[in-house]
Amino acid sequence: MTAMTEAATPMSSLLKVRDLRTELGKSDNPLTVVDGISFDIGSNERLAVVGESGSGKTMTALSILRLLPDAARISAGEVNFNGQDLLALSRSRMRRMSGGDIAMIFQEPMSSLNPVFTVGDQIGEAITLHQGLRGRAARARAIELLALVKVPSPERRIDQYPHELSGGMRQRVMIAIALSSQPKLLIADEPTTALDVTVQAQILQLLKQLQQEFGMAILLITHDLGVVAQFAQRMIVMYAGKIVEDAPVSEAFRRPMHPYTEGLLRSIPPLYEDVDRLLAIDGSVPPPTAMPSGCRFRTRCDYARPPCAAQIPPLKLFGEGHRAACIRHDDYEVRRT
Amino acid sequence: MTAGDLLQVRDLKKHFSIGSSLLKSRRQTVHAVDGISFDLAPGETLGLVGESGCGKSTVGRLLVRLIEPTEGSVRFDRREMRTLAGHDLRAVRKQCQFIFQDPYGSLDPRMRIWDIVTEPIVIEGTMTRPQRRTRSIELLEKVGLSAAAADRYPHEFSGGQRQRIGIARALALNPRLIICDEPVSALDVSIQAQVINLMADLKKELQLSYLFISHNLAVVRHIADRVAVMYLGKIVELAPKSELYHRPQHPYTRALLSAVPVPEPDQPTEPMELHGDIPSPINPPAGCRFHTRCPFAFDRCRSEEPILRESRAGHQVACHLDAG
Ligand SMILES: Nc1ncnc2c1ncn2[C@@H]1O[C@H](COP(=O)(O)OP(=O)(O)OP(=O)(O)O)[C@@H](O)[C@H]1O
Ligand SMILES: Nc1ncnc2c1ncn2[C@@H]1O[C@H](COP(=O)(O)OP(=O)(O)OP(=O)(O)O)[C@@H](O)[C@H]1O
Ligand code: SF4
Ligand code: SF4
Ligand SMILES: [Mg+2]
Ligand SMILES: [Mg+2]
Repeated sequence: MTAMTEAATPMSSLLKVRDLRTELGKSDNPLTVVDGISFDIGSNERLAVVGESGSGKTMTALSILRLLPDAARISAGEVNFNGQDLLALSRSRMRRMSGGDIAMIFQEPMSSLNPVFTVGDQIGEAITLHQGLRGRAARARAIELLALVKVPSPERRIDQYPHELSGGMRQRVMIAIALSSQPKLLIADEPTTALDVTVQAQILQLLKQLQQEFGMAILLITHDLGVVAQFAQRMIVMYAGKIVEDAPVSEAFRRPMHPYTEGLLRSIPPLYEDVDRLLAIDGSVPPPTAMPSGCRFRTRCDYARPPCAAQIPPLKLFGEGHRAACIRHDDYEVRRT
Repeated sequence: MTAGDLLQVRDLKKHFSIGSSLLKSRRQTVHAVDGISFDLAPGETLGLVGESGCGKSTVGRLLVRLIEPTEGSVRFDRREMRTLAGHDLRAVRKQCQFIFQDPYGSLDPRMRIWDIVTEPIVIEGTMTRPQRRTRSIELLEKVGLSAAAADRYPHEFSGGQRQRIGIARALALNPRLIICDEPVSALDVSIQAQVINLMADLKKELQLSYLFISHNLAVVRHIADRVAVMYLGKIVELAPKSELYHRPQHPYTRALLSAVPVPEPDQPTEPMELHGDIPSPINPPAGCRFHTRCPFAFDRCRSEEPILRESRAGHQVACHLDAG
């Protein structure tokens, strides 16, 4: 293991993930998809996780909730939520936790809603489970929740089936279900990726407003850096199963310390400007079987030099709450301290 | 812009009939594309944007005659597609190729790359196997892949590389027009830029025209010369790109642009408030189709449909505001 990774701790941590490792496949020849990551989420914080497809964002979220697919398992690490070690909880306590104090919404709301039950049935079920309300009281609370997530005419919508709703409305229903337990942490995995920009803007606005109103923390997984800039306070960048940068959003956008973050930011096509060529990151993520030694980004990195091959660079602090895993800045760090 | 036009589309419509075929009363009509017109010059790229379900892909499929129009005309190189058949139709089709969104689903996993890339040539039957082989390597190199890729299979390639393979296949018959339906939407940001740059280079080198369909307004800006905005089966605004992005006129275009999250943390976006969701294309609203969501709607909008008219040179808008 590399030097003990230090998380950039926000004022009060609600969730602490330490050296989390998640593997897939046979235990004698496992594929490590989350490779010893450590980070915190503050109790009232909006954190975004970005990174290349397959970099382990969803697996990280599912590991926290212990909702991993059968093929996957957590092989090391610690997940501490509000003082409790989630990895040590019994299955039944964990079931109450996920969907309770920690709630999750996914990209495709249709696949998480049951097509044969009405919206009211599904929100009602969650309300009964978490608040013990039944019958008319549960229905009234369900209507309240639909109104809270700005579903128009909730008294009517509550008796509709998922297929009768638009994608945006379905995502609102999912958020209502997630909120029914008054979670302290909401994990949202690409919640707006399947939606149009106008609807995306409404949903993000809603999430932000609810987060502030209820003092929740939100962990938002996205690949849209525009969404990150507009929504999150802090961002984590993942590459090939590892965190390569973790910083306040304005800091990461202004002064990215990892070349991958820098490359991502450069590749965004500007909306109001003509450029001759877009700047891209050359190449693509190597397959797990051909992962280079040392820094995993070095096959695509413009700044790579021989020492980058020697060892996997550990995350280092580069300033207030700003960590990056790159040896290019070693001299820089010396100058700063 | 008439004589030199590569493509002339006039009042193109596609209505789909859905529901029970036995119970006539239960049958419903989806107005997927409901009367659109535009021109495309050789070497020009037209971007087509709009929300999910507004009819973008249907337009693309109509142009290459993957589906037959309900009404309207498509002229390619001044020849009416509807009247073409047999050899003539095949000759025109050769010049219009298609690139799909999904770089995973659109390549046959059992075929070698060089066979995939030259599949359109096999159908033509104009080349021997060795000639085809040579041509495949030429095509692969054109899209930035090495000759070594020829004998491999699709699963050995990343998403961006597969999209390059799809582009190579589209180039096989030296087309003049390529319909690109969300060609980079499934790719990571870092790879998107590579593919867009490649497409821009090929356009210049081969004098290609693209119809570039996407819901990503920033991506469209970097490849298109002009941009058309669709809403519920209609074009509501069409303009040269810098006009459209800097002086959008239609309220829907303005709403779309205002909702794009800007990648600047210190510059908050202020999305224009739209009421409700996009209505169903089964019963599109009367008058202006956008009136149910438009913050500027007034009486006339609910009864009279605004026609697409030129508001400035080359800038067309369909809206009653300031229309006099
Ligand atoms: N159910 C599964 N079975 C086997 N492998 C899986 C499964 N789900 C994910 N993986 C693999 O685990 C790795 C991490 O996947 P993960 O879904 O966490 O990526 P991600 O960062 O969420 O990507 P994306 O942006 O595409 O959603 C990938 O290599 C992926 O192929
Ligand atoms: N074969 C079909 N039969 C019935 N309806 C169809 C058919 N093909 C498309 N439609 C409908 O026509 C409308 C336009 O669809 P189209 O696929 O062209 O939209 P789009 O703009 O490409 O959307 P997206 O951005 O989601 O790809 C939609 O309401 C769609 O459901
Ligand atoms: S450690 Fe080296 S290869 Fe890795 S990102 Fe930094 S400079 Fe590039
Ligand atoms: S015609 Fe009326 S409803 Fe339609 S976009 Fe213009 S102002 Fe809005
Ligand atoms: Mg994922
Ligand atoms: Mg489409």
